Amino acid sequence: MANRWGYPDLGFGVGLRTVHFPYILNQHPRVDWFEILSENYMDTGGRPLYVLDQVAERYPVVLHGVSMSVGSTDPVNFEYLRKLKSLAQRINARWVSDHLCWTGVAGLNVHDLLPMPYTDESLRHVVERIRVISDFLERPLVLENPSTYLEFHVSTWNEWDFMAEMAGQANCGLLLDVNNVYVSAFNHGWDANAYIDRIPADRVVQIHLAGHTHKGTHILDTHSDHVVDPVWELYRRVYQRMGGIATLLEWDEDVPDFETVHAEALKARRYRSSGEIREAA
Amino acid sequence: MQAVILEPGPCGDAKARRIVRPSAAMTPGERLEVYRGMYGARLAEALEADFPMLAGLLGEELFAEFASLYICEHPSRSYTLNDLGRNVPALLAKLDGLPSPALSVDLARFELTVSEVFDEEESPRLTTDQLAAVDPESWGVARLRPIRAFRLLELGYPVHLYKQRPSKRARRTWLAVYRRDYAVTWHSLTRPAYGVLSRLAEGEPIGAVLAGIRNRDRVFAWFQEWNQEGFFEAIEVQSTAR
Ligand SMILES: [Fe+2]
Repeated sequence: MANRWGYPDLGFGVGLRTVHFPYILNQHPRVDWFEILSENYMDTGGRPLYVLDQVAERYPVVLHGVSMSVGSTDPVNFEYLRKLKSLAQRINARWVSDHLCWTGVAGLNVHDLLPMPYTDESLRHVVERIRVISDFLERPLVLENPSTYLEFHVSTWNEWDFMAEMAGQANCGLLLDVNNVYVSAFNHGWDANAYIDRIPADRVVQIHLAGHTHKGTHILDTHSDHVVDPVWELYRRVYQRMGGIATLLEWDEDVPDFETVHAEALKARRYRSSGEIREAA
Repeated sequence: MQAVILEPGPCGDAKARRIVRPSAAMTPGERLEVYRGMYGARLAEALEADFPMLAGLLGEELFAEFASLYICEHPSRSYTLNDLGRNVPALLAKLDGLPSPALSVDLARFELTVSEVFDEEESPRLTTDQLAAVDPESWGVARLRPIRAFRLLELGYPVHLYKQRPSKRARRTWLAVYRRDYAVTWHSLTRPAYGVLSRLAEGEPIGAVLAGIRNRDRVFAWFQEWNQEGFFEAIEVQSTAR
């Protein structure tokens, strides 16, 4: 089933990474699409932007940020949004995403995706901010479920219901990171299948897949390895429930050659072909 | 949450217990520590990526110590990590007891300059047609404008050679650090050439810079070389130095 904005299923994409620049510029690999980390191109006029312009000429590109801090209590950073908007226009970004998290407070930035307490109050707060941000960007914001390593006593919502309610009230899209569902479910003892089943399919614009690092007591979302089988099985479940959705593989640590990363993304095809597609309610 | 992550020093488990739920395998304090540990590591890694030669000179342990001190004194206040290290040379200069203090500062100044030049806006390059179009009468009052991705450095060590030959021997060094074809590169200058180039780059009229120089042919040869390297983006005959 399609999302409510008619954003297309772009196929199987790869996160654009610096180490692959020469290969991509010289070989023009047949990749469906690229996702770029917005902040890596917002404050530079040098080579990254030059490469990005060439990539955007050949491939559909989506912007993915880590610094919007949509959950923060600090004022919305319009200077940041202005740069983000102009970058999105420059490369004709198909959509713009960030994370349901906060990255700092009182002007400080820890450059991490910090977890939010899931309460009625935080829901109101984040919905209001998403509206302001979407209005400014003149497009629906797409928000991703983060990997988290702790939960708050004050939380009264579970994450998946919070995301569903937030998306409905703020009219935003969702980027469903299947690995993050798996990681957070392990870390907090959640039911990953129930998580997938409660996410409103018509809000999901994009899927993320990635590898992680298992520490025994908890899992870290390191994007440093192949996707594990249980995550592929969750991806199959997403497909059976929601149909084909633009799918992207993230690999950020110990990044192998481009073909290995691309091959990992293309594995997703296998999990799209088997099983019945059930219409989501 | 904000306090327990950002606050320096070990955090009490009692405080964590009030805010954070335990998991089956971890206490609230241990769960918070995951975030706290990643914070320090992430910013130290960002500094090391921008200052690899400094990190090599100081060694792993000392650089890690320096990085955590730096992050305490200059925590990030920006959504970008691009300019996280801008106070590194200044903080190094304030520290006592570094093994090679002057070399450390010079390496850091050089590496910071390389980062700045990498990210600067791209500029057009001054063409021979533009030069030919300048009225010979106006040369004296004309001013050159360097490209945005251009910096001059005066140093006590040949830090541009350090990567190939890590030597701690001091030698006065003058460099133009600039970008060509989207790659950062540098050009070693003699002291007199540095003097002329820095006055031109600051927008002094060409006539004023040449006044008092006897060997003008040498200056013209330098200029030709500099312009071939793409140091300049424009020549302005009106007094509109930026
Ligand atoms: Fe993700």
